[in-house]
Amino acid sequence: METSDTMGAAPAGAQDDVDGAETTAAAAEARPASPKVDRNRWILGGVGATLLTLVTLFFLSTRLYVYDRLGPMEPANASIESTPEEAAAVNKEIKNLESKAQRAQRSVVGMVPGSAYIVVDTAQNKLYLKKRDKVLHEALCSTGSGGLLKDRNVDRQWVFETPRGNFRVIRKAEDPVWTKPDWAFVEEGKAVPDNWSERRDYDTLGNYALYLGDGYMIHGTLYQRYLGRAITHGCIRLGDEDLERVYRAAPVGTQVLIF
Amino acid sequence: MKALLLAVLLGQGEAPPDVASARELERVARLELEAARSKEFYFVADAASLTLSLKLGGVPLATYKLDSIELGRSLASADEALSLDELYRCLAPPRAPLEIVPGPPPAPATPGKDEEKKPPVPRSGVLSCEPPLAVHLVSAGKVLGFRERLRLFGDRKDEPRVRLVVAEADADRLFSSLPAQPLVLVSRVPQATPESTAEAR
Repeated sequence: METSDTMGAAPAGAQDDVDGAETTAAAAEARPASPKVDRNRWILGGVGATLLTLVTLFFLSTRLYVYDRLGPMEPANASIESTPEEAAAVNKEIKNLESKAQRAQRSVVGMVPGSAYIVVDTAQNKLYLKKRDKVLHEALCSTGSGGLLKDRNVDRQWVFETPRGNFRVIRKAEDPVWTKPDWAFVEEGKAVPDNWSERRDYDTLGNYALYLGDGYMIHGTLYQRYLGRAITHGCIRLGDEDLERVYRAAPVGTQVLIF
Repeated sequence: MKALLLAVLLGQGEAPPDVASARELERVARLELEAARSKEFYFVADAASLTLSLKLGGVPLATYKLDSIELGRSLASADEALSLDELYRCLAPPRAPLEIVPGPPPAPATPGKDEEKKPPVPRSGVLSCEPPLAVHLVSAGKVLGFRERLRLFGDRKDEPRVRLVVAEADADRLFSSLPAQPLVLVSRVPQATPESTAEAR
């Protein structure tokens, strides 16, 4: 039997160890440990455990955090007593600080465009035409899908994100013609043409286009049912009526804030 | 592109409360002007109204409701006064894009194809900053998993933390449009009274 063979192959030393253990146990039974030795062992063990605990606590204390909830600053405490001179000095400092704060606040408010500007919310796929803090027009749009396209033939790739930041309308066009970039062919699994005339597309952009630079624009779409979804290659697509409204209201130079 | 994180000094223990409030008001206004001039996205986390406003060049873009703003400090430095009035640079957590499989486009009138495929939207994120500060953005409905807790545990020791708990309803919106490197300004300016608002106008 295999089991018997294995047991039979056990090294002789193993048996010796067992014998040795039995001998030690027998000796310990015959000679009881002194209480002093036991006590020392307990003390050493206790000191070791305490040190280990302290080291662990020290490590944890550098890693553990306590959190306090933040609220607004407390209102003024009227019960603080002060001399008239001290009160006057405090009031002067407060007025000085408030004056500085108001100047800064006015500067910030003054940075909001006074003429019409466009805000694009890529999270909700919404476009707002605004003036100061007033919304003149709100529209569903489509923005970049965030997708990644790899060209397997050549080592290159594109990420279709709508760029975020502060842009301006640098050019406008009616009946815009789209010169299709390489990715448009790669995405469709087609060969990229050498002839530029094969890249021209007269339908895709709709009736109007507002150019933002680097190939990005606000334009129309054949895929109106997808408005409100993030499916584009980075451009901002609008429905026909919304596009016309924005095109008419936003001259070249209009600020476009995309977030 | 670099980003800055601005935070205001919290807790002016020495000065009388009125002066402390005025200093806070001035500091927040000054830092917001600086952020607006930076031409970068910036957040204003307002502890008074519990809102997080995203702005660019002084223009308010979106407002998100917060459940709470919490200030965290390491137990090792719990006795030290916490000062957060420096300029910080931070990075948002990266999001991996989904790969597109090449193929013919759907016909414009064909429903059911070319569906929206969004990269997964995170529910929490840590903006690590330099000088050391960590801004934790957490959705109110998010329960941190083991790996996230481990990551927090392994963060640099002693750095102060600001935890912004975003209301569940606004979390998707915020995390979907989180700028790559925003500036953040924490404000504790008390809510303006009707009188002071009228004066400001």
